[in-house]
Amino acid sequence: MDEKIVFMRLIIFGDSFAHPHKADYVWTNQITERLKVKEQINHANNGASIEYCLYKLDDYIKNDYNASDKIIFFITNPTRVPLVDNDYVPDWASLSSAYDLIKGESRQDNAVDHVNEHSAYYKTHVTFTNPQQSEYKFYTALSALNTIHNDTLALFSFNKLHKSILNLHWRNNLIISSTIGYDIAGNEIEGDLESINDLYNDFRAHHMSEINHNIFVDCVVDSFEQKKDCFDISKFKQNILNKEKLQLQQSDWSNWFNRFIG
Amino acid sequence: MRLIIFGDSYAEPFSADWVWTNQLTQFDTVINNALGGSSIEYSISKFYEYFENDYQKTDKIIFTLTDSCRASIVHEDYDPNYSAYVNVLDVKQTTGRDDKGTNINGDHYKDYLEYYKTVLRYTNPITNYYKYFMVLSMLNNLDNDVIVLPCFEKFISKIKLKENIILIQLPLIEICKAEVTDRHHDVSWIFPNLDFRPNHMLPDNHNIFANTITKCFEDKQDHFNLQDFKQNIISKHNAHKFMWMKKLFL
Repeated sequence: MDEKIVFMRLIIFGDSFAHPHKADYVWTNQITERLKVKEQINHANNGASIEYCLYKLDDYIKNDYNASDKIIFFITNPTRVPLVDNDYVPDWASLSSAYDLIKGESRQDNAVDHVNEHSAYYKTHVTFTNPQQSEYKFYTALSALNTIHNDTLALFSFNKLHKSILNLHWRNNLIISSTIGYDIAGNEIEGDLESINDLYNDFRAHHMSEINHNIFVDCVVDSFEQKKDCFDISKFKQNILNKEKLQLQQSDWSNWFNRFIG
Repeated sequence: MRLIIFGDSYAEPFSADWVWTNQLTQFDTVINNALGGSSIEYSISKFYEYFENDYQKTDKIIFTLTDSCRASIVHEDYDPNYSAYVNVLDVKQTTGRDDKGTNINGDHYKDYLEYYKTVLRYTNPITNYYKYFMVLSMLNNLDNDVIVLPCFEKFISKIKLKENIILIQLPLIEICKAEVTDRHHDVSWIFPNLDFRPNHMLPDNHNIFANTITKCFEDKQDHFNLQDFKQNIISKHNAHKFMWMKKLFL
């Protein structure tokens, strides 16, 4: 690791909860100034797997590491497809492409051909994937973050961690949030989400409305300043969208949203 | 004091006394989780299971770091030794053989051939170095003495390892290859499913291996040197024939 300090940066890894967007209000575009860092490098990618994020983290440590960097790492759903390759589009890992095709949704991207060509792979992946048996990946991701010494905020996109992992002796400036991204996203919607798949038709940037992006930024800043988890699910606005509206966003609001989606 | 082992065929348990994992008599208990043909992910999941349920601060740990390109499925209905699919595909491609060694998993590869083709299509050994990083960072959190043995390629860690983590520089396959006199002419014998030497070594080298492990634990240094191991002691044909001898020993 090259430990030359150039200037303080924020490095982000993760999935759709951190994927870059253009709109000023999204948390990733507010946070650089609020944390008073000079630069943000965002490696997050919609639909990406834990494996993809760890690959990017390893690459960062090998080629671009600075001891003064601050790091935000979203730990995503461990059941995503673990393929990591230059030819494999990280978005495919979430299985949403396969899910949409099964539902008969039309897609404009190259995922259609890919899923059709490799449908046997995806079927086998689903057959031999069990969420409980995939939980070792949480430990792997936190261990990887624990091995560097930067101020780091780890957030979980979808899953609640076992207390046993949280109680392990992690370094002091590795802040592990117990607030789940999916809960912030889901609580915005009146009524219950039927399943995780409800979010696949969600075109909210980072699955949050504007007002919660602001709150999210405050929580990140406070967590880094106080070196503890300052997220609290009750701080976030709840019941501000109905489910129909959320799903209508794709057809009715997509033009409006497309202006912001990077 | 206990020794906990994770890994693949280089460490999997055999009953014969002369196998290296059975020679480490300084330990009261050896718990061997290694399994031939298994993936790095399988070993990590076994490690996590151990860490959650059975971890002791005084344990010593050995972790053999297998081929990063193995299929990464970890599931109760998936036999972990299916992961080494590359052996089967490569053996067929390289030698055209489809003998006993390649049929070890019955119809599984036939039924799931398309899955393995996709894995192969999107697998790159260089990209997969991140898996070694995953293992080392996981082990680097421990205060236990840990020996990490790369099986197929040398690996230099970019993360700073603690003094109690001993990363061996000599890939284990070098010991296994050097035993074979005519290894330079044809490498098809290397594929582990055609090699029936327990842990891919003959008895003399099991003794040396066990002694070397003991030394590594004693002073927390890497003592693995290829020249310390017996070389040119078996022909490639005998490496295959060893499968017939297996019953005599195990």
